[in-house]
Amino acid sequence: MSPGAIKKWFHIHKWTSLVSMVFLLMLCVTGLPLIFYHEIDHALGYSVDAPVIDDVGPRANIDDIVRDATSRRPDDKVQYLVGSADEPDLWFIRMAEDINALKASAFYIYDARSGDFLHEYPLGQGVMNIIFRLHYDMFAGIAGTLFLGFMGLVFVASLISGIVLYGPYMRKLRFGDIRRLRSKRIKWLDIHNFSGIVTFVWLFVVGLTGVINTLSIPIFGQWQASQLAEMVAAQPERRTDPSIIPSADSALRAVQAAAPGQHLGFMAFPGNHFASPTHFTAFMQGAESWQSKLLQPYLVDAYTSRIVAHRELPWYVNALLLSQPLHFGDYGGMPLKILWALLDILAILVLISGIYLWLKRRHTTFEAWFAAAREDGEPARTDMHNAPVAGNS
Amino acid sequence: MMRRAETRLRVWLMPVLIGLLSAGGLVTALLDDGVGEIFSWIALGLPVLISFWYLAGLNISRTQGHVVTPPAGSTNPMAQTDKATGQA
Repeated sequence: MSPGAIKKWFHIHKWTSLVSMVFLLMLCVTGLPLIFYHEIDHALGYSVDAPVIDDVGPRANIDDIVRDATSRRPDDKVQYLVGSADEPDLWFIRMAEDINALKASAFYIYDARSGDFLHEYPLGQGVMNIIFRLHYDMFAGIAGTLFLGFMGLVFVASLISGIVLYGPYMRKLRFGDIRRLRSKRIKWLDIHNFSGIVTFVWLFVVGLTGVINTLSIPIFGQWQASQLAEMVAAQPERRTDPSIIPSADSALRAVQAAAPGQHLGFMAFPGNHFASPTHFTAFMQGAESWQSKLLQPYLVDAYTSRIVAHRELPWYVNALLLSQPLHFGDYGGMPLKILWALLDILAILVLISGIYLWLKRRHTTFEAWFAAAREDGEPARTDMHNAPVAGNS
Repeated sequence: MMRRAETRLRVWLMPVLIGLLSAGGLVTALLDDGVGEIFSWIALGLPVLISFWYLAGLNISRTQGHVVTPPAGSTNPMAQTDKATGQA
């Protein structure tokens, strides 16, 4: 690569990094505790485990659970019944002031066997909620989410330009060389390059899937406006009947019978954007690996409890659904979560060393950087040669 | 021409191996809950281990604290390095 081309990439790296680094540092720092969100919630008592009971009898009627939830907040609507593969003995009920409200008003936890009310998840409270909101939308709603997505894209550009610069920078160095005895700036430049190259693939994947996750509302919106609308339009028109309360229990039973071996991800109630005014939509998940991350939508007539349509989700929704585990790191047990945390710490090192280099020499020119890159590796340093380890040879 | 290819190999061998290993680990845990998950722990754990190893300077005792640069005109930088430090 010609020095001119390298210079161009140097400036791309500098400016994309400058634009995104403050937000990326915030995302990496808040992301660290969020890796263990589930565990922290349980430790703080925000969430509960299903009690240990011997009972293996029939499971509770979901309509009773819905009735109980409604009685707790008579003015609110049940939006979703949510299941969890990791906690098969629990049902979660999400309520809101409006069937389509983005903001939940309550999140109840029920025992799926006895139907007992177990716990109300404290929404919008505690330090983890603040950390989550900073990471998710900086308390600025959809605009904040999309802004962070854009910052993620700029960050991906910074990563790619960083990779382009790694080649010319390393021409006289070996992998992992950190010149500790030269100036502080060279040492930190080496640390920046090394930790950047080692974490590149992980950062690229977590960054890009994070960007995709910021698009979840428009992505599901596109599916609702196209495929879901088509499935609903293909059904004979039916008037809502306020005298009949649709049975969520019968709807779910019908779907479970049609999809053996699958479990409920969530079921949208009639009137919700994920369903229709006269249909439930049950989103089922496979039992294993990547199929447990995808969703299979079943449209169920709310009054006859019959499945009226089932269509695989389009590729762009599947891409979103697979982006979630790849961003959260919650798909390989506790060891993967710990690795996620360690990689995140290395990413913070990349960012902090980058920020340090910029602050230290705000006027660092391309020429100075290029000179550092072309400088020979560690030259003869008598103090190191006299170190005890030299006696080995 | 030869020298350029060698430099490229020296610079990119480890990054490419680490990148492939990481990518493999990220995918296998999605594909399979048993062996795939265990592989992912190793495949992502190795780069993490390598990182902390080098950052802590644990590689230095092996090379006695300095990196030897090949003299101008040398065709194989790795061989030079080995000659200088690898006699232990």
